[in-house]
Amino acid sequence: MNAKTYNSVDEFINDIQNDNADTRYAAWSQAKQMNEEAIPKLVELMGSDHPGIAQAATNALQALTHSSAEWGREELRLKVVGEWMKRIGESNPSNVRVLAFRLLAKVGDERVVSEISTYLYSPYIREEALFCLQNISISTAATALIAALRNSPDDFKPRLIAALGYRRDDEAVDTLYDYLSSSDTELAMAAMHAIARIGKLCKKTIPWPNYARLSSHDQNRFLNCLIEYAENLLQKGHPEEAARSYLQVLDKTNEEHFCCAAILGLSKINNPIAVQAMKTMASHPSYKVRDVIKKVLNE
Amino acid sequence: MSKLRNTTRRTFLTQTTGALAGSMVAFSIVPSAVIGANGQTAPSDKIITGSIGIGGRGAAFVRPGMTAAICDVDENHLRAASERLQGQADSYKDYRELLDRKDIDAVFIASPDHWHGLMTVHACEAGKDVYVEKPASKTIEEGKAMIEAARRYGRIVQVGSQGRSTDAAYKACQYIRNGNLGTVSKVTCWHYENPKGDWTPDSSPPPELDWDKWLGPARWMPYNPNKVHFNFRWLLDFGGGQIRDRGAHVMSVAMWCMNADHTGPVSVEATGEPPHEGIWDCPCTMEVKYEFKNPDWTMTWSQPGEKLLDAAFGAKYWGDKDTLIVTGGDGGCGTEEKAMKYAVPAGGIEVFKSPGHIENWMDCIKTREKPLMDIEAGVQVANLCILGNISYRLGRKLEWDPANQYVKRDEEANRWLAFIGRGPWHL
Repeated sequence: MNAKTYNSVDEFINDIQNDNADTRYAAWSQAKQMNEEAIPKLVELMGSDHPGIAQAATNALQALTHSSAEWGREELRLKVVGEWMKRIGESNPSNVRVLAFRLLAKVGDERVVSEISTYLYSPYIREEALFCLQNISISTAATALIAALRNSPDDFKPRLIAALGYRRDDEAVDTLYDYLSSSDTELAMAAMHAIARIGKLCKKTIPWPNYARLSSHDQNRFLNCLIEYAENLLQKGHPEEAARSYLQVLDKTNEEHFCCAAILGLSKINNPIAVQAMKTMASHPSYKVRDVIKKVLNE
Repeated sequence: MSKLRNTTRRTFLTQTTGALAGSMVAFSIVPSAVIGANGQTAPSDKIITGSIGIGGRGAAFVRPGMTAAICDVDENHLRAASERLQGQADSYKDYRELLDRKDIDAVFIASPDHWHGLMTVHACEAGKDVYVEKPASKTIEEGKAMIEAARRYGRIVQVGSQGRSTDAAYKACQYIRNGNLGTVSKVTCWHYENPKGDWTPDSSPPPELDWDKWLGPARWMPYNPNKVHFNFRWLLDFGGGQIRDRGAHVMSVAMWCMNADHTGPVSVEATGEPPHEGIWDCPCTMEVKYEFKNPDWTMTWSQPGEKLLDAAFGAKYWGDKDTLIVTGGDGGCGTEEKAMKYAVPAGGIEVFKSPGHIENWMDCIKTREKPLMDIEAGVQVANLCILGNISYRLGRKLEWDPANQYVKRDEEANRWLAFIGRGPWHL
């Protein structure tokens, strides 16, 4: 199919709301020819009763927005972002708001952070606001998420913590550390997961959660977090603290895959504490663990 | 739902061998090896598996005498599998409970694509070896996490691109790697189009299906029969069309033949045309070009492309001396006679010959060697599918840095490389 050239927004919109599906496709696949002026009319058509027209309008909005983020089209992107920012508020239909947040998550920048942050407190749309902010890699977004963590209801806190972990925000670590001692297991686990992923040295040793009360799955997750945290600390030049984390794992479990991972980690540190710890494990009930110790000590 | 949490290896083996002893099927599938007779496999060497996702493809991994536990979010799947296993496996709706079982050594994961990454990582953390269906991962970041988990815990993770274990792919790989085509500068893959959907309306999920758990890490959306089970393939949120479903087979064989498992493309450019109507959004037709450097070669994915040797899908390898066609890419590979008859000369390159894809995985569980389609190779192939779909969505060429795994000069494209799952379902 040869691409049609559109000379005006109206001509484009006419094709988007055509009864013929092929004509609609021919139009929305050329949405790149449009600029931000097409957005208001396309948004209106998202509410069409005709599913094909609503879909063509949505596809056109997505294609136009994606094209605005191409290298060298900065001016258009800023205008497109401006149009979407007008559509995140409560007066807009919910499907439009959701699309706005999702596209801003891909093409938004520091200019949108402040306003989007206010929606972290709106129960209906907070998840979309969160998805959006977690993609914008500047520190004001981290600051907004940390503030929301302090002021949000408990049921939303694990999501906020996960977002901070996903972003690997160093500045969140002190706040996250406080949640490690939470009596709410879900919160404590979420905080540990985020801290491990960020991998910045905490001010104090990682406290144990109420380990015996965790499910087997959560126990595994916690031990994995300690190992991931140790690996990150080691990479960032904190061998003593990494060793402490590996030793915590060895202290808590006999499971061979965890023991082997911790021993291999300790072998990279190779200080007297690490060597001594490995030697004391030499009579471990698992042959595989003993074998790994033998190999790393021989090396 | 039965949950026999304290089943031990011995209990499972005793129960299964006892209960199945009277059936012909049992004798053919669970021979005396299970009980260690005649110098055969002793019970301690038998690999006990769990199966997560047992509808469709996953049903093939449910085997009497091997499967101790099954998991699915659809009760109909659980019922059918349980009947096949004559009640000898415990049923779960939550895979985390299956992973808690200490008697299970290894798991098959054949859930929809959007679950592969999380389930594989959790299985590795639980100390299980994993056979995960292709394509391995849904995002670039997820692939990295899967490799990391497998390596951290020394797990054997095989990706189910079983084409590499076929005789034809093995012969073709050996033929190409020994220089019979000269320098290969181009691989052209072909496949038929994606299907077109319709406007079947959203509805309430059927009572047997836990829709929220089926969605898991994906964004919440209303149930529709055209989204679930086999149909997930045709939606970008869950699957990603033929380029993922079959591309993960055809391109797996191509990456193997080109000895390119360790690398990725430097550019990816995709175009495509989606259905003009209906809820499915994967492109029906698609053309993707991948450019590789050092050595320089290109691979194209054409949907449809020129059909060769009357095969529905496959790839043609273009060297400066000759060409070779490899049809299929999944379990049903074929190739030309010149490759099938080829014998490697003394001093030539010998390629690993797999005894079968599952068998290779089982062997590696015992030897702790890397399987043929190790997670790292599987992720490289999945990355091709992922990048192809990102380029299609964004409507532009991506310049990819394969070593550092990011798109050059494209902030938006880089935001598509990771996805944090919904609720508790995230890495």
